[in-house]
Amino acid sequence: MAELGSNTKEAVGQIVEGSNECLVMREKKGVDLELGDLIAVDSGNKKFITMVSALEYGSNIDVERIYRSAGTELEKQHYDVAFLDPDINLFRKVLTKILLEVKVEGGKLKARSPRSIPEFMSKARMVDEGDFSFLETPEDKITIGKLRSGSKRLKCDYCMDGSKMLSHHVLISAQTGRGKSNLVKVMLWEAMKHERFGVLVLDVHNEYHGSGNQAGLKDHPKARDRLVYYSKDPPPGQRALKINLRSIDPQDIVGVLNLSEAQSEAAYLFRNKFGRDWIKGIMGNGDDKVSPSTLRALRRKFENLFRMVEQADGSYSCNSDVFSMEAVGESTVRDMADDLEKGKVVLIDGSSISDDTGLVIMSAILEDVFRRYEGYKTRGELDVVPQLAVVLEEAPRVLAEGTTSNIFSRIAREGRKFKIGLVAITQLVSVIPIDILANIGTKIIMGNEMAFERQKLIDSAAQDLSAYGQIIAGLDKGESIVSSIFSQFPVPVYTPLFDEVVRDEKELGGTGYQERRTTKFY
Amino acid sequence: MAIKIKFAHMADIHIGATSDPNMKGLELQTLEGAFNRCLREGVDFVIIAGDIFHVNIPDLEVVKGAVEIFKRFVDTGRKIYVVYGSHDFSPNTASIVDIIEAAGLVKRVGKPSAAGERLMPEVVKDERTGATLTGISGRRGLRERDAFEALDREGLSHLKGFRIFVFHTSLDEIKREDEKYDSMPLSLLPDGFDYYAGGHIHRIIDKVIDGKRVVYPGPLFTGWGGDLEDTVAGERRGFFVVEVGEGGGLGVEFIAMRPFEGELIRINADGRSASDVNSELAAVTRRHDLGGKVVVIKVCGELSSGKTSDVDFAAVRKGLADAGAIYVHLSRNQLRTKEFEAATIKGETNAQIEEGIFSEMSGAVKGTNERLTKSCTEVARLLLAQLRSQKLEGETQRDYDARMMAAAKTVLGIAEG
Ligand SMILES: Nc1ncnc2c1ncn2[C@@H]1O[C@H](COP(=O)(O)OP(=O)(O)OP(=O)(O)O)[C@@H](O)[C@H]1O
Ligand SMILES: [Mg+2]
Ligand SMILES: [Mn+2]
Repeated sequence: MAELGSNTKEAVGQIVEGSNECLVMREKKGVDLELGDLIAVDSGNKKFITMVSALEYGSNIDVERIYRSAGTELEKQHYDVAFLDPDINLFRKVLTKILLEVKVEGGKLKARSPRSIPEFMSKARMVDEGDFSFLETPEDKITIGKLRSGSKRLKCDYCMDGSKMLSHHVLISAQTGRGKSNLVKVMLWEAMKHERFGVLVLDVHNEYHGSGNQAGLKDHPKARDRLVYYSKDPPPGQRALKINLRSIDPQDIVGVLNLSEAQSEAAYLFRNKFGRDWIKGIMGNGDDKVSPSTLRALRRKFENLFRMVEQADGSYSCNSDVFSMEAVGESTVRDMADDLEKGKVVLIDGSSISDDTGLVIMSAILEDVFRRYEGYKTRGELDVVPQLAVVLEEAPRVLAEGTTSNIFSRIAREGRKFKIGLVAITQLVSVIPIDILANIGTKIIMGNEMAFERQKLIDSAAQDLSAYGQIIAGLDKGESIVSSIFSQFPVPVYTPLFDEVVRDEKELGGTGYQERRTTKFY
Repeated sequence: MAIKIKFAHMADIHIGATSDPNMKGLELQTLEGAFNRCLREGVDFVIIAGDIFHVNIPDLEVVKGAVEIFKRFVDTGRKIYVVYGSHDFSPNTASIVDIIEAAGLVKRVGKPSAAGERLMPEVVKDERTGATLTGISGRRGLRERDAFEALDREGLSHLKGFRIFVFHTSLDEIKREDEKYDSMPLSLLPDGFDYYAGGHIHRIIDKVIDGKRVVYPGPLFTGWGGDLEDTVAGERRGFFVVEVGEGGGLGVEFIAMRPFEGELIRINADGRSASDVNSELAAVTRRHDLGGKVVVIKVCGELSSGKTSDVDFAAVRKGLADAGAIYVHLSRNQLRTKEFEAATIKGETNAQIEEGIFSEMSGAVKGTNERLTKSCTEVARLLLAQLRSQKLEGETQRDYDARMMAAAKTVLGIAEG
């Protein structure tokens, strides 16, 4: 991919008509602008940053003449059909949308939403990194990638304030294969640089941790302190995913298994009666208040979810290699919640467990941290605890209209008040309820050919994205439009491949990489 | 089944942990009883998975007692295999474990067999049975984790025979909800051993987790603190005897030791006055069934009036001793009072008042850190001085936090690494 040089003082076009909705420029021959390219228009003491939203033809010649000329060329007639001064009379029209108005204030560049238009006939040029020096680097920065002009990367990082971004939820949306997972991996890598973001991740494809030579979060210089990884089959040093059934509460199951009313009532009844051993209770005892058929149905669901196997004596044993009914994995959920509170990334390998299992575990952890954070809020201590976030792949599964209320939708709706945010990843935004979509402060929109899905995104975005339909359809792998309530314009970003990020940082020689403790063994 | 190998697995004996003369006697009697039982059972060898002694250099009187017991056992041609525990190891000076090893009483397994970045622990073959033993010693504050991380797993994967891995470390996966101590993941134990002989967790555990048979016998004798409370409340103490059949099958039996009769007396002080509690305590001393027993008195709840120090524990201790109790353990850390107990200090200057408060409160400091228990007022004074330091101009909150944290660590003597 081409790096955009900084010698961009050359004009690429000139404003010839238009309005504040759309500036029309005549393109300089040979410049070959593309949809999404960013173009700066210097005008008096201001500068306008615009984006190419459409390309059209223009000419100063009669349409009939042009058609006739094309005809003669195609049909190989021998008239001389050359136009007079074709360079002047035939051209391309570039339609651009003004994104920002930038001006120098107190010796610093300040940007704001456009409230005016450039001088008529102003010249336009390509942007360079200098044009974005108004972007501030927040203290808790999470780098999303490089700023981009069309398909050209600028030498300028685009960072967001992690606390703001995560607390107000993030949506990452794209069609399959456009780089969602890569982006999440890069963002988690960034989050691990701080000690302020506790992020819970259910990694359904087990693609974030990395193994052996395959780079992943395990290669982070701070991985030892800031990453915990749980897997059914953990590498040495990482934790086995063992969850004691005592850590599971009815609400973790009701929202995931879509229990009937009677079933969920029964679940709560057993919870009251048997305390944290309620699942054991259901598998072991009847209860006058619960109809045998409800109990049977519940048991069947639990048999599936927890791999309960009936023994010769009628009792049940738990054959799951994740869940346990004995004294194994009792502290797992608590430990995960503790680590989140310490600002670590808690990564759960969800690749070898069922979706339901993963969601039930996530729910148990999130219920725990939610309770804790409610406590902090009541006691006025929320300021000093890390921002939490949960990364949810295929989010519609638990957020879609019609699903029973669960901890995920609760976080989406009121997590912000408790410093718990959602990072929802999805190919289908259309099934996420509009009130949840509207609540998401940052939308990272990657390539999507499905017009219907695009429209949903455009409708719910923080900025007016009406000009972006075609651009979103054409986004390449790693390219995105970041539309956030925290940015002044929809920001075109390119997120590099994770491996490049790791390599670049290693080359820069972060001190973390050289840390090698020499220990004496006994 | 035909028995091929039979061994005993003990841990956390903490010899020398008690100072009470009666309990000291029981401690050695229990150890002797355990080794006698081992001989009666016909075990081939004994494993002690760390914390044989309570400190690295214990009182020589108890050492002598223990040495006599070990000597009698090894003189029968059997071995005692050990690792250091978190209590009986010192990185600075020799440990008693080294001394009794030099004398040929025990064999410490898992010593690093070559220098390098990877750790290949020495593997020992028990001559009597052909069993293969190795392990990693425990250290304070889970510092042995580095050794586990550096372990040459590949090198250990080719061992033959019945393989035992001895260690003194808690595991995340078996930690209970209510337990908060340092632990490491099970995945750090090397694969492929037939028996993982653990120490450090003071309760009985025998589990197969992800194909690993992980066993902790818990302490053999409990002469102090929370462990004693649990014992008196009914928790079993002892060690395991393991039989390995010809086909490799395991028979694991817990041998319970009952060195004393215990009695747990709970007194709920909630909403009562100190003098009211005192009269209940006095009634305890008049009971006739406590002679010859170890008595644990647990007082908890919130006093409605009076200070916690008004509760006369000395009197009950003396009364029970007179009544013939072997030993009295008082548990009062869950006793609170409604009355505000601090800030009754008179003084001239702020510094004098602070000093006064610190020395009064210093009695409440518990723990094993000598710096904190011995020179508590001094540490508190320094810490307060540090905490007074304000954020500097231009210093970010984060840098300030880090600076304060580092200063506090220095004052508290918690060095890193
Ligand atoms: N920034 C990038 N530059 C180049 N290639 C990329 C970039 N991001 C991702 N890719 C490549 O595209 C492929 C798909 O990426 P990724 O798995 O991140 O997509 P996804 O949107 O998560 O797909 P899915 O919907 O299947 O989960 C990968 O092979 C990856 O290497
Ligand atoms: Mg993906
Ligand atoms: Mn111990």
